[in-house]
Amino acid sequence: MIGVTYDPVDGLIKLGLAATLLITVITITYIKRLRLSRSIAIAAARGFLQLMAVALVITAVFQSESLLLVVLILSLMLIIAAHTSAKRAERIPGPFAVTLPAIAIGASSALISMVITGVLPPTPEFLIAFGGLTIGGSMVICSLALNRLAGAISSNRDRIETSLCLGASSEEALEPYTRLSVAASLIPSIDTVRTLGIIIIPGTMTGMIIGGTDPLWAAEYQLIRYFMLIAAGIITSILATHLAEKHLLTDCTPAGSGEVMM
Amino acid sequence: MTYKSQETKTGIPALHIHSLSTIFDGQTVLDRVSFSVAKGECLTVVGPSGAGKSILLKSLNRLIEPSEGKIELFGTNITRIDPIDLRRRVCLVGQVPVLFDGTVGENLAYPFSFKRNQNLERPDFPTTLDSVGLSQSLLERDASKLSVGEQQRVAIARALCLSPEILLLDEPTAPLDHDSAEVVEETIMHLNCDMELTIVMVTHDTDQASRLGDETLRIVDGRVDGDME
Repeated sequence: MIGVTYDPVDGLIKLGLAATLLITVITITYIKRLRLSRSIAIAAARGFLQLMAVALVITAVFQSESLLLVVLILSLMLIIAAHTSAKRAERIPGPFAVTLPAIAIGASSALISMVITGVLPPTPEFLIAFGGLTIGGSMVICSLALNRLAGAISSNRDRIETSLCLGASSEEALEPYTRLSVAASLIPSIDTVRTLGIIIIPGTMTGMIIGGTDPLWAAEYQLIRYFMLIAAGIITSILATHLAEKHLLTDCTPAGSGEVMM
Repeated sequence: MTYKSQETKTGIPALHIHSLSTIFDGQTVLDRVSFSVAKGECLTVVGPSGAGKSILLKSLNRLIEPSEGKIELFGTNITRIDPIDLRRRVCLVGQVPVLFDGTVGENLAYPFSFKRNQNLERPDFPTTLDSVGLSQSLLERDASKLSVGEQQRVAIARALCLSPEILLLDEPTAPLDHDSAEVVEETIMHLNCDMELTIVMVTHDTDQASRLGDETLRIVDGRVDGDME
């Protein structure tokens, strides 16, 4: 509960009890020879260590109340998100140069606008929580958009070449596919918002309710979070596909660089 | 080795390719290919699959950038021509006819939807269709409902709408049955002989190459093989 000091012993006991559920599942997978027990155990251990480390760092940042530390943490999150998304978009040449600016501009514009308008207070708690959620959401949308774009270009190569042969610029030749990729990347987020509260009570709201917050207030922040995610996602997706098309196809590449298209 | 065919009265060939080489992933796909194409000529390019014929064709309108060598269009190095303008002047029609959703008329109008073509004068579409042996009654027909042979001729007509100086054809009869291939051949002959359009056509059919080409260039393993016939 909010305002209650964390008791590490009590916390570890509760975690241990929750882990018995996991141990039961691991045992079942071992008996059934599903060959999942090792990966579940490693994933759980990794998750435990990562979350505990993050919790300790965030506690330290909250206590210091340093905005510089907040910016550093958000920057680190951003670099990891861009790197993760770039790994998913390997079919695009130089993917990190696409994902980093796309996620950075998308996520930061949503976060900064919320702070400037006073929707979110400029405190480390809010900046890290909402910044992290927005960066994470933008990362997923960026990966979806780039994957979809690379696939569409691959399977519509003849059409794109035909358009180029008929006088289209690279942007014009790719426009139908970038448009579809942007739309496709946002479908999961839009569907999530559409079914908010009906199918699941989303994470932010659940967390705040468990923490003792008024459910209406929790719902308000959940909505702010999703509005930020969609805004950041649209900007990220548009930027990512726009930057990617420059990497995938140019009106004219320098001599010796081989084929114009992937 | 450079082969020279007939040139224009000014002595400048429509296309002059000098020592063109293209390397993909460390593999040479075109190796010092040189030849010329005169204005109004139909040059056919033959060779086995994977010889580099299509890559050669795509190099001529800069869909592919060569690693070395020089291509001149009426004496001007094509690297000095804006690629979008170049592709309008040296228009490529692919092996499989690519028509977009909509009617034949909408497909003919498609190139004019692009910014750089919007100021170009649109030709009379029925006349353009007539030049490829198709009736103007097809203008309102759904392009996807046409036979492959008709689609190929619409694709050629669409390229003609841009008034290209040179038409590049990549195995235009490959996906067609014998009768449709014959009709497309007649269309190509008409464009070259009657309309004096310069054509470079890739084909795997050596008989077809002899029938249509003023001269034939044979490419094997990325190299020009033997003399021009």
